[in-house]
Amino acid sequence: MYTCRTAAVRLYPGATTATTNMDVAKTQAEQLRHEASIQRKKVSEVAKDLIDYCEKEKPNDTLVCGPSDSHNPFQEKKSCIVL
Amino acid sequence: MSELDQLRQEAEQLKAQIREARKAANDTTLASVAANLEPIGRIQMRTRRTLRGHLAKIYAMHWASDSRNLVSASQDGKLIVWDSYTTNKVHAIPLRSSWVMTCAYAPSGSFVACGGLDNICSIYSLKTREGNVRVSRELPGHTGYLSCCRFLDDNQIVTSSGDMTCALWDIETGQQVTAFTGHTGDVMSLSLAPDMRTFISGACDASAKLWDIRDGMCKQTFPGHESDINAVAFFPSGNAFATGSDDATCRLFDIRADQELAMYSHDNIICGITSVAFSKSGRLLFAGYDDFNCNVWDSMRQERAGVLAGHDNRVSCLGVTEDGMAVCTGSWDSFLKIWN
Repeated sequence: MYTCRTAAVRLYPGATTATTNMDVAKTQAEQLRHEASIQRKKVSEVAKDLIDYCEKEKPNDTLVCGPSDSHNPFQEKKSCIVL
Repeated sequence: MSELDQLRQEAEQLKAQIREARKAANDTTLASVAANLEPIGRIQMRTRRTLRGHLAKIYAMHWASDSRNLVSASQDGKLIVWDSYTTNKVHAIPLRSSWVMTCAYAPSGSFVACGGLDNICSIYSLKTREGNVRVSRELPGHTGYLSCCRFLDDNQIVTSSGDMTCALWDIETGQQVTAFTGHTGDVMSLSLAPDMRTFISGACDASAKLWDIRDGMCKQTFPGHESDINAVAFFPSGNAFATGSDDATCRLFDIRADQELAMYSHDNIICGITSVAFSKSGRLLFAGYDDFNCNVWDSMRQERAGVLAGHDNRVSCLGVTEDGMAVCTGSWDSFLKIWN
C-alpha cells in the first residue's frame, strides 16, 4: 500500500501545479495519524464472530445447503415430448 | 531537518506504528480458529439458465433486489435487463457509448446505471410514463474511466474511477456531493456496506480503502495484495470484505481487526481474479478468473470447495442474489449463466 507504484511525480487528482510536495506530505501524514489512532480488535475475537455468523445463517444459505426442489425458482423446466 | 523531511519521517513512524498495532492484534489465525469447523463438502452447482443475446464481451452484471431481474453490460453497446426465471429480455437499452465497464440496478428497481471509457455515469429510468427506457441523467465529472457504480437509493449513487477517486452523486442535481481521494492508482471496484454508511474500494495501488460515505474520510487502508485489486465485496455481516487481484489471490480482510485474515490461492492458479461475491451466509466466496473458471472457496477453512466451469472465455463479472438462491456469472464469451 505504501509503495506508490506510479511515477513519483504523479500528483493526487485535483492537484494543480500549486500543490506542492509539502501539501502531499501533510495530507499523507494527517491521514496516517488518523489511521494509526483506531482501536483494533483481536483476530481471535473477530474470526470467531465471522464463523458464528456463517453458522447462524447457514440454514438460509441455499448455495451451501442446496435448494429444495419444492422451492427452487431456477429448477430446470421439464421438457415435454410432443408425440 | 526541513519541515518536509520531518513530515516524511513522521509518516514512516506512523506506518511502523500501524504495522506494530496490527501485529499486536494478530493473536491467532482464521485458519486455526476454523480448524474444527465442519467442512461443507464438495459444492457442485449446475447451470440452470443461460442468458443469450449479447453480441460481444460482457463486462458487468448486477442483480436487482427482487433476486429475479438482472442487468448486464456488453461492449456490443447494450444494457440488457433480463428476467432470469424465464430468460426473457425485459429491456434492451442501446448506449450512447459502447465502451461500457460497469452497470448497476437501483434497489427500488426503477433505475439502472452504467458507465465506462466515456468517464460518465449514465442513469436510465426503467419506469417512465411513456413506457420506454430513457436516459434520465448523465453524471460527468470524473477525469478517468468509470470502473464501478452502485446506487444508495434512487437519488444517490457512488462511483469509482480510473482517475483514482470515488464520488458520491446527487442524481437530481447531477452534482458530486463528496469526492473520496487518497488512492494512488486507478480505482477498479467498490462495494457498499450492508448498512450503507461506508463502502470499500479496491485499486491498482494494491490497497483497499474503507470510506465513510457522509464525511468523505478514508477510515482505514488495507495493504497486502501484490498487484492491482480488481474486485471487492463485503462479507454479509458488514465486518469484513473480500478482494480479488491480478496477483492470482483473493483475500479476506477484517475491518475491526484492521488486517488481512485469509488468502485464497493455489500453486496452479496463476491468473488474475476479475470478480468476487459471497453467498448469503458468507461461507462461500465465489471468484471469477481470467482462465474461464469461477472457483468456489470455503471462506472460513480457506479450501476450494468447487468450480463453476462452463464459459469459453474469461469470467468478467459475477453476483449472488439477495435471497441467496443463485449465482450469476458473466463472460467475455457473451453469455451469462445462472447456477445453483
